[in-house]
Amino acid sequence: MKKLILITLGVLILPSAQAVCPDGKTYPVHFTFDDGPHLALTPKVLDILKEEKVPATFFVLGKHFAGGKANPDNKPKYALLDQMKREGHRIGSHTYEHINHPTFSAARVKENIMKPNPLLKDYLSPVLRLPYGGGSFRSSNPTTQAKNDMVMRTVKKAGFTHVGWDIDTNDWDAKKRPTLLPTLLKDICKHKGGVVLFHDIQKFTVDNLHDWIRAVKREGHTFAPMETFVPEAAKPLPPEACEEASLTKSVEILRDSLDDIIENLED
Amino acid sequence: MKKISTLAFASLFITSVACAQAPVFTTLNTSGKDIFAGVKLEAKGMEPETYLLQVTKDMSSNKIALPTELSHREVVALFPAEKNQLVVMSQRTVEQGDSPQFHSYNPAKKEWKKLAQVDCMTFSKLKVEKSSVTVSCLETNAKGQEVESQKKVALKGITLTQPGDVILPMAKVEKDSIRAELIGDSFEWKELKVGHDKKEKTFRP
Repeated sequence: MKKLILITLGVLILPSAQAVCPDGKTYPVHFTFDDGPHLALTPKVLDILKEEKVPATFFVLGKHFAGGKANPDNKPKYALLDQMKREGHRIGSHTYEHINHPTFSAARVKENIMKPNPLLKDYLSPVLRLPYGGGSFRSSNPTTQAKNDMVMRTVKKAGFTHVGWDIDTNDWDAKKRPTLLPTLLKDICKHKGGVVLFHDIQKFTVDNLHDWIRAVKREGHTFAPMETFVPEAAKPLPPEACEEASLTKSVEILRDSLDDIIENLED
Repeated sequence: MKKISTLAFASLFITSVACAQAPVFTTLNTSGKDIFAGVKLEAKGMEPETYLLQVTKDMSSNKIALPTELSHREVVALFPAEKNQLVVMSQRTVEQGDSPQFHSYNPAKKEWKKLAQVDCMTFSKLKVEKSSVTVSCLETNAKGQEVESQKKVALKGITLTQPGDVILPMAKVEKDSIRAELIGDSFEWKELKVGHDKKEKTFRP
């Protein structure tokens, strides 16, 4: 009986000593960074990831590459993309401008989704994250849902898989920063790991990233590549991603979204 | 001895219960007469739904729906104003913050009015004056440094009743004989404890 109690207590103590989740398990996570690249901060993120051997995904904004490789100002930004690829990270599209897509016309949505692709075609994996997640959510309002459907259809037609997140760290939010790490660790257990959202344009994130990675590792969790969660990330960018925007296509998208709206109104 | 090992085994199972999605409080404030709290309901794959909860001195509660344009925006701060009005500061907080908006609510007329918007995503300090709110805005510049700037917004036609410096989040307030506190982990506050004189009651969103 004494032995049984000791074993039982040992089991009880062990999880807290290893600090694994309440279910006794550890989980795979994948860190993602939105809105960059930032010339001063993204290199620091890359250094930390390299040191800690952590694969990540950068959802970059197309507007940072206006003018493409012909613009000499973009040379250091493309160098960062080269470094990301070389060091085993994935690069996804965060669209061209950081807009809330469902509030714009179908033509503008398509333009914002397609515009970065020729500029980044040598770097992008076929994964895209909509700013604010706009369009990727379900809505109980039929009109809103029709707009969301239009956005998601445009993403799909462009050949991308939308990648949301399982854990939003709110690293941009000064109010929530003091509790970011305990919340992150709790969320990893709650969501059983998954894709984690950060921003590599936030000094706070870059200043603390090393500690956060080490804390996650200390808990026994592992860092897995994007394709563990989204297998499509391993595929090449399909040709439709760089297809020229045409009036016909825009009209087609507009017609589809009008059909959805009418259908939902009829329901 | 058997009891101890049974208890030990039982606690193993208790800790493995999964967390369910439930509405949470996001902020609160009091006019000295009523308590107001922001509520957010998040469900996976859905836009967050938000509303206000009003608790009166007699400990009755009332859900106040936000206007459509605010129904997915998180209520980040509440400011009591003259004529029993309330100013709601809201922000879209999914993936990234947007420009916070200020709306007034007139409970007597059940009327909402947009007052202002401030171009600032990251903040935790506010300076509340009678007819304005100044946001201490944190922004990362091109050099990678975080700089603070003061962004003042005028709230036309509204007089705020509690000027002063505010550090967000607001999770505990007391004014006159009424007091309130959000209970739970930060930003996952699941209970609102309200006290008035010797009466005390706990509310869930």
